[in-house]
Amino acid sequence: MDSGVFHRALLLVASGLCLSVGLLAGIPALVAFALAALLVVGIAWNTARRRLSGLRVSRRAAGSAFEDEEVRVEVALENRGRAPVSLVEVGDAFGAALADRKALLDPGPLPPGRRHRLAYRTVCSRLWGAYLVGPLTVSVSDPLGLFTPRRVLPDVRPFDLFPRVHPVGGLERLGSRSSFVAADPTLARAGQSALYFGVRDFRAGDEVRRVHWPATARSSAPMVKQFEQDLSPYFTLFLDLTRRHRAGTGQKSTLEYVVRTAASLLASAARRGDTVQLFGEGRRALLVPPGRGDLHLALALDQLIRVRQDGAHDVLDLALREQAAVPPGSTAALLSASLFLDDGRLSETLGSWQARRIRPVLVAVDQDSFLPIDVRSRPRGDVQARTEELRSLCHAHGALLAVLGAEHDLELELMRSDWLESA
Amino acid sequence: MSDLLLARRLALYLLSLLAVASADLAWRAPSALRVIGQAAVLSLSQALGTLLADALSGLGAASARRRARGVAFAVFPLPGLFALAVALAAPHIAGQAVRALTLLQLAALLLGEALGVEILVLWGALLLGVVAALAGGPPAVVGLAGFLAVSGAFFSLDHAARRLAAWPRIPAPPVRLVLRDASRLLAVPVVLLAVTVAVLPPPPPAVVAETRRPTLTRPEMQRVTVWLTLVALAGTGGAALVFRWLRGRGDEAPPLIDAMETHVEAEEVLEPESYEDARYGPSRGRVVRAYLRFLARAREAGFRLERHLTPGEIQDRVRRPADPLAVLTDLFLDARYGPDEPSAEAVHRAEAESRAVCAGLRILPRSARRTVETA
Repeated sequence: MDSGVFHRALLLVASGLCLSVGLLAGIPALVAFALAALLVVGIAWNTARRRLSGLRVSRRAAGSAFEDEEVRVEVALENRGRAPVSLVEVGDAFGAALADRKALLDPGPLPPGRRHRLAYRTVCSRLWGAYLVGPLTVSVSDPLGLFTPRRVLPDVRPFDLFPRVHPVGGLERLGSRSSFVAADPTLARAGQSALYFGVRDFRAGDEVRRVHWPATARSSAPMVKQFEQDLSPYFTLFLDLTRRHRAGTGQKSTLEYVVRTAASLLASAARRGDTVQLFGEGRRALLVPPGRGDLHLALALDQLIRVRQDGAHDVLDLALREQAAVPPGSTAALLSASLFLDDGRLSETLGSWQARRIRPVLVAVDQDSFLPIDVRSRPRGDVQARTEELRSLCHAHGALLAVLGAEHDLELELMRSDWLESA
Repeated sequence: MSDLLLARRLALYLLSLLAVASADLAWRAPSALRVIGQAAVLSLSQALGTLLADALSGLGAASARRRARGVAFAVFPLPGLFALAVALAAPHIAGQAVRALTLLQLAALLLGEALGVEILVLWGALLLGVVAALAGGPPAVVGLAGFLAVSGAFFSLDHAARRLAAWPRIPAPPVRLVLRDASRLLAVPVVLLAVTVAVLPPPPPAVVAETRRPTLTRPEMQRVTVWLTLVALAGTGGAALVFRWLRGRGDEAPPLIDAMETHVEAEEVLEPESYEDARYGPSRGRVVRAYLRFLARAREAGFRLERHLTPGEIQDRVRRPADPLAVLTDLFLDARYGPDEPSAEAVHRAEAESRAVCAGLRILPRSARRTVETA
């Protein structure tokens, strides 16, 4: 308990005792002492409140971080009162850290009309997810420490904690060509780039500004210019959020494996310069439109940490439905929470991608290796056989396959250079 | 930090010395030698108490220490109250009560730091000061005013030391700054107390002994003494119960608080709050609040303004004072529904018109409000 409470109680008990004894025995000195003690308590109460009312606190911190990352939080403490203050305690709740509250002490003195900038660093020790930062609290005592009023400032902000990401082994070889740059910027096909490709006959609907007048004059028929098609590395990820593929708890669960793997795939692709897009279908549709750069990656991860395995539709339905969004020549990955996908539709999906020169990748999490939740685990023999079937199916369609199980250390597995070919 | 702790110990010592000496001088023949002896014994006791605290710091579980503290809280206050009651009821043996209280004070000084019950030292000093005040004269002035001043200094030093205990790397403020803050707060009450006690002195000890004795030994006063003892017993029992209750509550896991290493990175001068900043929020909010003040005032003036009414309908109902109300309504509509933040001038004007409208509305007693028809 705060020592101020005891000290305050002592003064109040002392004044009560002295007042009663002083009145009963007719001793004015004791009555005066009682009143003086009460006056001290009153002045202290008033001073503490006045000091607190002049204080303003604000916080500045990043809105997101990766697991185990250290975050710097700046706290500005302003004294808009009329007297200097010392020993001001500022509390902050940082949800992504282990401690319930972070406490800072400004030893002071903080003169009136001044601002002190304080800062603390904390490690995001909790697991990925959406957390809150705040509320802020500020407390200051009177000079005797009898009263320590506290004010809670409703400065509560969301804080996204992203899963740790690792460079995914083997991904760098997908969707790129031998070139001086990490990716070919164009494809030698007719398209909309600025690079000239050739001329062809005018067709209905062609823009007049594309008419190549010299060629038109030479051939006596309207001719238009053709340009090469833009090609930037493109990575599309389809996420399996089917409810019946749930298994395991905590860090050993299909959701954990799916989210962490997806985060690493997206981060590796985005940091390589790919345009990345993400599709998933839980109870709430997950859609991250195509984009590039760190900000886009942050958006994708922000969506990713909010997913739940509560969908009703198969990931293959989603891939077939959204196949128009996957550009030719790109890389598309199916991240399934189960090995037991429908063979017919899987073959259809991989075949259609292959036909459009899309490089298919299948990452399958072995649901049956996790603690079962609502579906009994299949015998290991069936799982082995299914893995072989998937391998031959992927081989037939030129797809890369990786199988993840509960027995694997996910981080080590993702970083293995031959991970995508290992199955 | 060590300076603070040293000053804190010194304050406890001074408090004890002041209390013991004033009570002794009040009830016994003055003797410089005795006061010096008391000072020496008290300092010895405190030094031993510090050694004891160091020795015990490595021993004993927290629960054992808490139990010992509880026992100390239950045992120590009672004899002190008894001694006070004796001094009240029989002034001729008040000197012996002072001796008993001095012994208690020595024990409190010895155990205070080791068990963390320094407040018992303050309690003992308070009782000695009260006993000194019973006799009156300069010892009463010194005893009571000194208690208030030195205990206040102790409170401030103790508070600073405890706050900084969780942040050992933060440099402690200088002792003189801590004491200066405390003295600002204590100056008025202590001076008033000293002056009051000096101006209205209680009768000297001899007079108390002669004239008060019959009063204090009368049956009603004896009953008071009995009651005082009973109250003390009840209070001690209550304190023990509260202690047990608090101990039970302690079983719940306390919140995990991380005392962060803090240092002030920069000290900046605050920009004066500009009018545009609107001290209580953006200027849009100030206009809305000005309008809400008018609404509250109109309701107090007896107008029935239902929630579904539009500002125009409200204006039609209230009507007077017409001009300022029309301006206020327009400004409110702009601020509430307009695309732009109101200008400083608009905020000024809305607040001025709101004041004008409110001044024009007469507040009715609650009973009369329902009877008022719309104007």
